[in-house]
Amino acid sequence: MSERITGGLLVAMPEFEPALPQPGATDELIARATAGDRPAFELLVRRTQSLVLRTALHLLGNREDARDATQDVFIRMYNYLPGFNPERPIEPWLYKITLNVCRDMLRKRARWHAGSAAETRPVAVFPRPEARERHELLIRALDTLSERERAAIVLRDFEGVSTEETAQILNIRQVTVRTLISRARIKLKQACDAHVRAEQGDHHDV
Amino acid sequence: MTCDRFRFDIALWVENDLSGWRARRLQRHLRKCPHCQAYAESFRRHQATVKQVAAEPIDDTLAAGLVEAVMARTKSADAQKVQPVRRPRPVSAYRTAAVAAGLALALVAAWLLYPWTLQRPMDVPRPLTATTGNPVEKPGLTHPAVPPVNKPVMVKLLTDDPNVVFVMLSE
Ligand SMILES: [Zn+2]
Repeated sequence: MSERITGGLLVAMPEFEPALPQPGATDELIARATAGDRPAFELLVRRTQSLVLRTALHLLGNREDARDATQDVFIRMYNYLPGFNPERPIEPWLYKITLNVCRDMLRKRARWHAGSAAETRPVAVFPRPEARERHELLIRALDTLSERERAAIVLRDFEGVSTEETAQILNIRQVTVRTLISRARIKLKQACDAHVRAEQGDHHDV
Repeated sequence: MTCDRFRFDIALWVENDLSGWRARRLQRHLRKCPHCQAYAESFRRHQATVKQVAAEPIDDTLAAGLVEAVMARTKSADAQKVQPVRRPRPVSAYRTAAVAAGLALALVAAWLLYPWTLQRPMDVPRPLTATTGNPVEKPGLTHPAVPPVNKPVMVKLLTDDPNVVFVMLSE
């Protein structure tokens, strides 16, 4: 079982930009950071911040919360590093911390905004305008998913984590992951198709 | 429509998340159903878009200053003391209402508990000058005639929200 865990998270989608460019060096960094080496910890944060930021952004749907969550993830990472086994890959652990931080944040946000209208803040994360538009559409579509569907689809389709590893990170059965991602994929596709149809309708009207 | 039951299978199949008898059943169906073939093809394109968008590099401003902030917050030798970030939140209507209700309750309690009996005229010790009748402005006094009692008292109640301050003025 443990061999499968260390199999690498990005295997399912090799075209993905790897979050950790030098895996060997990362092991050493983790070991040094665990021993209290602050420059090593800083480098570890630099290397993994885009993974955490991206995941938090897709789980939360806005930039400010994603930035706050990312800070909290690394604070937790710092606090828990002494108990972390540096021989294990760090990504599943980081995904777990990110999911927990974002879940806490969503629950707090739900309490704060109880009774008030849901806010729609711009996401605007990608430099290229055409990518930005599609991304904002997807983020809005993600808002239509349940918390569990969203977590599963963000790991599996947005992060390229395998179904098996998604199940391990979410601590659920693989069959449950499949149920969640099939529902989530259909909902996302429906939202995107509806958007395209609306745009085409607009063009025909003009 | 019989094709509807294949929608969930197609959603898995396009990403190789379907195996075994369900995959074989779907493939048998796809061979003879152009409708589901088109749906699967459109689903594949959609999935490609999702992954393409997700793989876009994030703009630099999102990550700006993050590492520095984390390093500053972990500077403390005792890591356990490092607290999660707290950004001020907009004040919700519920919260303001709760604060107002609490203050109103406190005011009612204060009113009920206030020793009103002391203010009854008959209990108030009469000043020595009372027997001389209405006070007359004495020539030579420099200060204006200010009523000696019942000077207005202003009470400010501050709340967590700097924009919400309750001000009370006594008569
Ligand atoms: Zn069909």
